[in-house]
Order: sequence, then C-alpha cells, then structure tokens
Amino acid sequence: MIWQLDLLILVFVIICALAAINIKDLLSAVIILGAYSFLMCLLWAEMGAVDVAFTEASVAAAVSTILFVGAVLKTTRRSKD
Amino acid sequence: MLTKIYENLIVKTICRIMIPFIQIYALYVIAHGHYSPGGGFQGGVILAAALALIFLAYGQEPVVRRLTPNLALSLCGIGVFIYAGTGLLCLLSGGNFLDYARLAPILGVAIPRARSLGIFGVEIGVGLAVMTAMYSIIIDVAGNSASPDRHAASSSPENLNNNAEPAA
Amino acid sequence: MNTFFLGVDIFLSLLVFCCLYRVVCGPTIIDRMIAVGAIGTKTLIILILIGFIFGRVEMFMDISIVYALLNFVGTLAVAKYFEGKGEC
Repeated sequence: MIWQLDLLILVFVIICALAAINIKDLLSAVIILGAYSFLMCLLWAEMGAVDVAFTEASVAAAVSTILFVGAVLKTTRRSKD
Repeated sequence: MLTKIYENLIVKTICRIMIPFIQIYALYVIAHGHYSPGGGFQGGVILAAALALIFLAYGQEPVVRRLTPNLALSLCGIGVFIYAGTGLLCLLSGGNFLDYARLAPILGVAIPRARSLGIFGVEIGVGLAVMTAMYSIIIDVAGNSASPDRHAASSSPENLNNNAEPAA
Repeated sequence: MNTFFLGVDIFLSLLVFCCLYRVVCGPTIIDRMIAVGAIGTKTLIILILIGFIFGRVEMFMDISIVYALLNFVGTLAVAKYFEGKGEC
C-alpha cells in the first residue's frame, strides 16, 4: 500500500468519473470510461489485489468497450439531458 | 479502386499476427490459475477477446461461420457440465461437493495429485463456459441484426397487422 | 532502490495527468482515443514498477502482458463505429 501513488490515482479517477458523467457526446463518454478502467486496474494492483486487477484488465480492455460501442450504435449518440 | 483493395489491410495483418499469441496466452492463464493471478474466468475472457478481434477485423461472417451461435451455447452447457460433473463425482464417491481427495481412487493417483487435477478440470470447465458466453453476448449486441426467421412466426409486423384488420 | 522506483512512479503518474487533460478536454474524439492509448502504455510500466516495490515482480508481469496485447481493441471498436455510421 503506497500512499503517495494511492492519493494521486484517486484524484485522477474522480476527474475521469466527473468528466464521463458531464459530457454530452456518448461515444466520448465510452472512451473516457476506458481511461477510467485503466486507472482502476492500477488502484487495485497497488492495494495488493492482483486477481481483481487481472479481471478488471481483461474485461474492460477487451469486452466492455465493444459492448458499449454496440449499444451506442443501436441508440442515439447525443444524450438528451 | 486502390482504396478498395487496400481497405483494412493494416488491421487485418496485425490481427492475423496477434491472435495466435493472445490465444496461447489465454491458455497459459487458465493453466496457471492456481499459482499466478488469473484462472478460469480471466482466461475465458481473453479467449473471447481473441474472437472479438476476428469479428472487428474481418466482419461478422467469418467468425459466425466458424463458431455458430448454437454451437457456442452448446459448448457453454458442456463447460458448466464439466464443472458441476467434477463436483458431483466427488459427491458420488462419498465426500462433500468438490472434495477432490475422493477422486484419488478413481484416477489411481496420490491424494495431492488428485486435488491438483480436480482444480485443473474445474478451471477448464469455467474457461470454456465463460468464453462461449462472452462470445454470444458480443455477437448479439454488436453484430448485425438477429436472424429474421427466428422471430418471424411469433411477432413479425405482418402478423400483427393481419390480426388488427378483421376487427376494423 | 525502492525510493527510486517510487520517484519514477510518481513522475509517470504526473505524465498520466498530462494525457488526462487531452482525454477530458479534447475537442474531437480522435484526440481522446490517442490519449487513452498513451495512458494504457504508461499504466503497464507503472504496474511493473509497483511489482518491484512489492518484491514479487512475476505476478504483476502477467497483468502488464494483458494490457500490452489488448490495448488497441477499444480503438478498433470505435473505428468500426465510424466505418458504419460515417465520421461525425
């Protein structure tokens, strides 16, 4: 548990999450969630949970982005609110 | 016309190089699940990612021709059957569910080796089930629309309009 | 040696912050895709350095290999969307 790295990455995670919520273009929000998942994997690994970091890496790097882009393809691209 | 010939050439070549390495790495992750991080679920997801790469680079038709949705769902059931079957075999031999020590007289090996082989069998079952389930979900969500003859008999628009007309 | 690796980690995290500016505020979508690829490359190096600090580098190497192999699938998916719908 390395507290300097922990604090820094938590700040980045909060910035990414706020940006992903407030943006109007849904495809850009999907890409920001990709960056969010990279930083979450770093956080899990730095806390010592290597299996959880491995699961986050393999699921979010490959499968989750394809499913989100497929969902945006079948619905609208600009969010209504 | 040159753009039509060279369309997607870079993506197809890179995918052709990378996909065997991704699949071998996924098999390594499944086999070393008891010691390294990883295991059945993570290896299954990486195998599904290799199939999704073929889907993204070459289109839907080559990958659906190789692994049809019916075969994928059957393999999913076979994976769950391997996992539950190992546990049931331990139960039938007089122990608890997934008590691998009871497999030792059936396989004819020592007890630590029977535990190791039991864990390996469970990982293979989980990996197979997860790979085919993720593959089916990706093909359903991100593929071109579902086949029309699956829904034609029950709820196609022509049937609904024909049912509405005699009342009018 | 641990202090040196920790210093390199914090420096790379500040570089991740520079790429995050382009992810959050990039005017077009292509900026965001390229910046996420750069963040992925930095992430896998920070993972190996965390492994050195904890003393067990062989565990963290596996996660880094996953990112090295699968970093570009997200970019491919978005490019497939553009091919289907037209640049927008």
